[in-house]
Amino acid sequence: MVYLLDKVWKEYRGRAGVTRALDGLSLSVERGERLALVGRSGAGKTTLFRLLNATLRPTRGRVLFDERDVGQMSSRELRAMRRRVGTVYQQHYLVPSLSVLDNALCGGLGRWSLWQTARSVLRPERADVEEAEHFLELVGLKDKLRERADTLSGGQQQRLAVARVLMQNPEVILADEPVASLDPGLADSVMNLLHEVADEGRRTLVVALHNVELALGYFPRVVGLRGGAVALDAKASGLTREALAEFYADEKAWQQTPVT
Amino acid sequence: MRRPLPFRTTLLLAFLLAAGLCLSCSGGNRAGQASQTTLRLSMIPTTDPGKMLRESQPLVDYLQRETGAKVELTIPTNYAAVVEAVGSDQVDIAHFGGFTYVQASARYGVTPLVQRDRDQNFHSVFITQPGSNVNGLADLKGHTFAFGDVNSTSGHLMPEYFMRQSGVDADVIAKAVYTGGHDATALAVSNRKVDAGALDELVFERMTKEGKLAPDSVRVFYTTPAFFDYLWAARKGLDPGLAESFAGALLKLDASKADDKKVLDILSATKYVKASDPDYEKLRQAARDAGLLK
Amino acid sequence: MATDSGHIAPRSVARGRGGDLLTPRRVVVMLGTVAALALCWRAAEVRPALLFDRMTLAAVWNFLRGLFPPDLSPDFLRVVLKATFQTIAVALAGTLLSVGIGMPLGVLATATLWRRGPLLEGERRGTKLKLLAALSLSTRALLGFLRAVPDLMWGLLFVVAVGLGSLAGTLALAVAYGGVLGRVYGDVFEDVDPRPVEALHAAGATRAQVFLRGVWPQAAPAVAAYTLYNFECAVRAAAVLGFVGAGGLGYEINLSMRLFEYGQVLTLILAFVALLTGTDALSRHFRRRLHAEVSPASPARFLMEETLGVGAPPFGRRASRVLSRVRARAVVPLLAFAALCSLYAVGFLNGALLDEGLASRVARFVARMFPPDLSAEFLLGLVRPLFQTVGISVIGTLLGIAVGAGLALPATSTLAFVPADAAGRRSASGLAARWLAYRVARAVFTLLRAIPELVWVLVCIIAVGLGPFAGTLAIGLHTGGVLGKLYAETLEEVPMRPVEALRAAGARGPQVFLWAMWPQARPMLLSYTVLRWEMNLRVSTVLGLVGGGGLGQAVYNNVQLGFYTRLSTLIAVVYALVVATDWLSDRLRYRTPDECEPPRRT
Repeated sequence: MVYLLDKVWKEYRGRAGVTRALDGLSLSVERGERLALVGRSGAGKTTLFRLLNATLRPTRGRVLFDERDVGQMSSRELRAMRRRVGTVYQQHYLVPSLSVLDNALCGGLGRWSLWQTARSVLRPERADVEEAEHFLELVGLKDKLRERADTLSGGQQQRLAVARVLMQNPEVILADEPVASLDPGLADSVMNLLHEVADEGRRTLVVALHNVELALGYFPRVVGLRGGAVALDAKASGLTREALAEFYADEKAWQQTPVT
Repeated sequence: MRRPLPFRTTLLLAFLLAAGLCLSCSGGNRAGQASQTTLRLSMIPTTDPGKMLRESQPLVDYLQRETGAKVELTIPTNYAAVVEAVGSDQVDIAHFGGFTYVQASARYGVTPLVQRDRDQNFHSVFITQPGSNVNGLADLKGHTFAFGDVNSTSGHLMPEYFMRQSGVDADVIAKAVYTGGHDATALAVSNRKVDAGALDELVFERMTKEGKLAPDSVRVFYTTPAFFDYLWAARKGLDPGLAESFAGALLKLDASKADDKKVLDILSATKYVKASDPDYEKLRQAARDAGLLK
Repeated sequence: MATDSGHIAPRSVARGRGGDLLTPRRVVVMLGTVAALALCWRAAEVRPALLFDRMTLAAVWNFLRGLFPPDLSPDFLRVVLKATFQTIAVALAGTLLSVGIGMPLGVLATATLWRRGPLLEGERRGTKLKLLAALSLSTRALLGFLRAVPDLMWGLLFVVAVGLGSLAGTLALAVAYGGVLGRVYGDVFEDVDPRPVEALHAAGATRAQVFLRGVWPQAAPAVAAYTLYNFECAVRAAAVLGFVGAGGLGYEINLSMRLFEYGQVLTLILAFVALLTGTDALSRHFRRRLHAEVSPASPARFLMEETLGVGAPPFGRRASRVLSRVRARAVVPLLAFAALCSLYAVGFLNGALLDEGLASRVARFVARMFPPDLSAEFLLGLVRPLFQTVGISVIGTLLGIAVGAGLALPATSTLAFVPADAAGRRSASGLAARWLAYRVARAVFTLLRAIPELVWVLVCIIAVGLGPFAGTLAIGLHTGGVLGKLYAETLEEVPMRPVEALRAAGARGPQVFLWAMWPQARPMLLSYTVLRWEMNLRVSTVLGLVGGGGLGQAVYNNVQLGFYTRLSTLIAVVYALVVATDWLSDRLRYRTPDECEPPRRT
């Protein structure tokens, strides 16, 4: 078992008072599993992702990664864990002023020492560059190596983010709405890419999606969040579009979601 | 890694450090060789320091010849900086005013060496405008008054002392302004920015002579009794032999010899005599009474 | 508050609700303000009659006559040249050192690295993290302190601690601007887009790696641009530092003033103005290129303008990014090299850096400042200079407002020149008069602005004698130049459509100003003025160093007398005063209910 979340609460304290993002959420994920996460915005998907990649601590409850309690880990152990979990974010999570190659190389930070990092600013090691170039070729960005990340289109940025995660070589890949801003053709190509990558290293794949078609089409297991808790956890084969629509009831976004 | 540094800065710092090491090695050697025989003098300027420095070459030459040391002369414009420099061994022998000498001896234990004969018999002059009704210290009540630099003996300490002695209204002293220099005091009075002021008699003479001060724009209404002022003093821990030879060199200057006269003129002197600490007891007491010395 | 859509000036409507103008609260506030102003007036010892006194006019006339001809003898020109180079060297070396101080402190003060945000939300709040957060907070406080104490005061301290000359000036700049830069760097680092930072953090990067690959690449252009801007300010400061004995042009100006060599003064001031103009043009050139990279929405821009209030850097909008990067890369090593040479020139590298004497001298000096003198007698004596300082800054600023506002109208091009294609008849002589007024007003601003407050103090002392009144006049003159230029520029930048609409409706000049320009420009004018007052307060704490009244005189005298324990008290008082002013100024600028938006230059 890669993940075991046991009655997890997460509350944010803000000026407007306390908001509850997760409300006693429990979930387990097996190694090598493919999992789609659906739910309206505000259902707690992003918070859940941040718990899964250990950049957030739960207010209450336990998160186990590889049978170890994340809450008890030291900073060093946390870093080691984060290295094993790769995250593909939505857009804008690339360093805008760095080149495509540099951004891809950033995936390797977790295993580099500070000195290596410093050196890579001027002249990265040949082996690393070759590796990064290989992954960039895989995502179809080989011809854009020297361009600044902020000059890329949305789809290219998304693929660069995937290349960065490949460079990181994680055991688990989390992807938060990786296709939200892409047109249907591109969305399919990114989804295929994620699956290829996951196949390659028997990686666990957790993807948050707005698009029900994609969720049903690509993932054997679908988990639905509502109000910060799991409201649906089923095999995709046993689900219909109509059953899933429940999560988007009274929400126009559902009707507007592009259906491919 | 608590303090990550951006790489370019790291590089820059490394470069800087390397360059610094090289430079300081070469620089350090030079200083090291010279330090045994260097005599660092500092002299308070009576006129444009740059001009003084240029014109003081005969003095430097003379002292190098007499003491056998390499003489470095600096002409600072800030009394307090001289005191600190002597205290931190940056200057070996300094030309102090009476008051700064008292401060330096209290803080850093300097040794008095020599002074001009006239320094033992020094005066301040009190000036006012020709048309004013101030004719003595007692008339100062209700008038505005200017001192020079707060650290000056003849521009502040002794004038204040004699004013207190003769019972001048305390308000005059409390409200007095500090012009920062003798020249500025003279100018403030002649431009009627203040009613009266006190300054160094030598500066007053020089300004009148050089035409910086129109003779009919001010008048002297009081001259203080004599007090001790400027002197040369050595820092604590200076090789006594070196101090001796410096003092000896100045003491044996003879105004009747043409070469010596040139040197004496630079120092505005005619003859040098030995200086001794007990002569400054009165001054010290005056400073303590006025709360200017702790 | 978009004005794009309409031809109606925003807020001009708000003037209408005049019914509740005299609420009891307002009356109390108004009476309080009047009383405070009266107090300030008294404290600053303002005597307007003195300005027209026969002796004053004669002294000013003598001074002006003495300025001409400027001393251009080869001997003196050599002195000027040397002093100019010394000033440049001090500025460069000081800037380099201040980067060295500001960068690590800035990193340490960055809240998003040590205190809050995504980097910390996954960590266990252990003792180590708490300690780091506390360290970061105290660094921020330290930076605030370094910034609050005026550079001239640092200069005086270092002159006494390490001796006269350029080294003292360099160290003073390093400390004072280290504080400024550290604060700015910290803010720039905090303002970068947090999302890439979070992504790197989630990939297992350490904090240092996150900084190096996530924060720095985003912040670098703003950091470089601000550092350049800072250098510009350092040149000005380096010259002024000479007034307390730190070498360079200021030292020579002070000296020539004291020796009544006004011809030399003019030469020196001309050299100073030339130097400033040169650095300004150079730095502007490079900054424009760098700024193509700072996103328009970046708070770094606002910061640049806010921290110093004047000379908001112009932002090139279309400079090519690639080109700018290439140039920027060439500039940094070049500047670094020049700065290195300067460090050598001011005697920092050859000796001072590794000379144990320097550190121990500074340490000993600091040790002697403790414990602070808190005797009632001394503290009571500070009340008068404290009031004087506040009075000088307030009345001086008011004077500056009067001078600046009076000249700003003819200096506003949109008011001075009616568009050529506007309908209506105009006389050639009227146009010529307006053109002349415009030129004259602009020239006066340049003159008033270029000459630092401290030089103005010396001039005003000649005119009205030592004391707070001279300081007040000096601040008023310099501020008049600064504010006048800002006022004119602000009025020029006001959206023109409401103005055109009123003109079209037949409104005359003053009406157009009152109903279309003033309501639009008001918040920004107010903001600039209050910021300037804040800066003037800092200045008025040091005017006394050259005889302009206020706390500076007490600082100078106690330094001279070696009463260092009193010095630490005085520094604390100045710090408290500056902090209080900052607070008040923030309130004045942001509180006004219908203007909650902080003003920004467009």
